[in-house]
Amino acid sequence: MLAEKLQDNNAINQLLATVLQQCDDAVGIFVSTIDGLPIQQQSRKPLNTERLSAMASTFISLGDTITGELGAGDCKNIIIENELGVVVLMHINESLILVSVCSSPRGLGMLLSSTRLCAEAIRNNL
Amino acid sequence: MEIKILFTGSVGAGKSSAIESLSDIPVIKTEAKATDAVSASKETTTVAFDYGEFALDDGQKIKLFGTPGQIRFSYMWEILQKNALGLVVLVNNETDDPLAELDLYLSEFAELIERTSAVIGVTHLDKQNGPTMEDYYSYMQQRNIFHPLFPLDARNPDDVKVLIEAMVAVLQVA
Repeated sequence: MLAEKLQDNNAINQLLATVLQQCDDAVGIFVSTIDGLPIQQQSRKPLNTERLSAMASTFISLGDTITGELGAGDCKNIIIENELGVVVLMHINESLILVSVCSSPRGLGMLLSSTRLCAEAIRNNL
Repeated sequence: MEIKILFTGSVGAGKSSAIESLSDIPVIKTEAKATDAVSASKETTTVAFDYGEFALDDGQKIKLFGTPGQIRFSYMWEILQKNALGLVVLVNNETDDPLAELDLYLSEFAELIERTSAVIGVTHLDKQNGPTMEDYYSYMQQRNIFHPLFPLDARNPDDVKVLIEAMVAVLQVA
């Protein structure tokens, strides 16, 4: 199954680590399957990616459903701006999702750009 | 009064199909490509909810919500059961232990069932060596569970309508 197959993929692990190195405010980043199974994570504090992966799957699917209903094309990413930071969710491909979290409400630009590059690099590595 | 009925149950039991077969409006679906063992039996799986609407003969509108089946989405179960007036549990008789699955959903939704009511539908009864309807009746009797229980084909609107009518009848008596 896909999640097990990619759990030991070193390239993904390195690419996730790079995002944390590039973004001082990044708290964590993880890859899950589109149907909510955790694959790999890098984080500065513990993240319950079992639960978060399922939630990310739900959220991305809702984004796809809303953009589909609006006839607005594919949902590229979802940004959650919260009091204590930002969460970015995006498709890597049709089977994988990338989620990144930062602890600064002003960190959106850097987080979004690093997450996009990371998603692209993972896509190219598969 | 608007009536919200929640469909839950095993993966592949036909929750999405049941809502789709009954709904008067295009069903809102939130599906994702299945990447785990589910992919052996179907290509996609519900990851948030299904939503449809159905009008009874007297014009009463019923909102139909379907949950994801996998337990990793149980946080959605908690969200979706708010304000529900009844629960439909669908059991996929083709799984390894459908009676244990029935037990799981009855237990996970015990609070909603206690507050409202439940009906149970068993799908995929053509499986050889699987439990029969008699096995389900005995199982429920042994546990003092007295919810209406029906065999059904979730793709057949008449079958699903029987479940909903049983649910509405139970609610009217309660």
